[in-house]
Amino acid sequence: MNLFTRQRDNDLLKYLNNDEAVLIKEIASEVNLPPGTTIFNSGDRIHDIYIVRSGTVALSELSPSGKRIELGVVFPDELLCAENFIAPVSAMYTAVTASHVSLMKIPHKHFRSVLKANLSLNVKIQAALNDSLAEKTIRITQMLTKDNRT
Amino acid sequence: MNRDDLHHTATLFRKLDQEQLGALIQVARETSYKSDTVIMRYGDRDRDIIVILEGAVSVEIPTGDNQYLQVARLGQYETIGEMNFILPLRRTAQIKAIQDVSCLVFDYYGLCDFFRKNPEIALKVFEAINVSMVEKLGRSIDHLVETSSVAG
Repeated sequence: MNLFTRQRDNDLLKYLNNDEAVLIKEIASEVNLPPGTTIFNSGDRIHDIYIVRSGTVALSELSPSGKRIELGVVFPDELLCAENFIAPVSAMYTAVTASHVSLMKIPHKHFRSVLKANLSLNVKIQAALNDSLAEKTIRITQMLTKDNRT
Repeated sequence: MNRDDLHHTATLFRKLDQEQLGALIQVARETSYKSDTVIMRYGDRDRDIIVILEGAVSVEIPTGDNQYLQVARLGQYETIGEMNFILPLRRTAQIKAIQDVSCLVFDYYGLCDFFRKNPEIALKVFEAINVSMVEKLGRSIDHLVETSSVAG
């Protein structure tokens, strides 16, 4: 929506000004992982939010018959676990590093405290989450439509 | 329109108090469509949000040769068009009234202007959209896993 202007590539912090972005970066930590590392499994309880800084993460889910279904790839500056931060749901998929990956991890308790104390920042973060979830839903829907047509 | 019902059941409004809901509804216009009328056309560029007050609609995707396949049915207090409100996309489905429908239409630009002036309400609506989107994403993943499993 045309409420805010994108200030940076990071999909979570994209609408924040420099002062606001610093507040989030102060509570974040960096996690570096080699290829083939499982970040979390489908069904895990996760609350923290991650941003891929470099590398790629493959998402998949097991069907009831045990077949692994690919759900796409998360690229640099995109979010992981946004849905688990928003709602108390278990992980909807398994996430495995497809290369060397650097993640920005934002612990949910600190993040919620920062959001609660800053209305303007909170609105911009929620708008960024709107965008990210809409894009992810569209990607899945496109895979679904393609599946139905082939 | 029963505002109490709207407050408790419409996805978009579920976090608003009565006063905030009253202010937001001032932005909308109430309109109606006869059964079998196309409310939104596939490929349109408008970004309005519609909340159904009464009646039901069919969500349909094109299958070629001017034919459409119903993929969902939406009824009272359900919301149409939040995806296009968020992202500047063309409409990805056709919405057709399958009963006489009355609804609230939130004009995109009017709503953006309202949210700029009312950040507390914007916050609650965006949070509600996020929860709704998580639910939608979960359903889509389940559906994809199910269909891929059957296809493979």
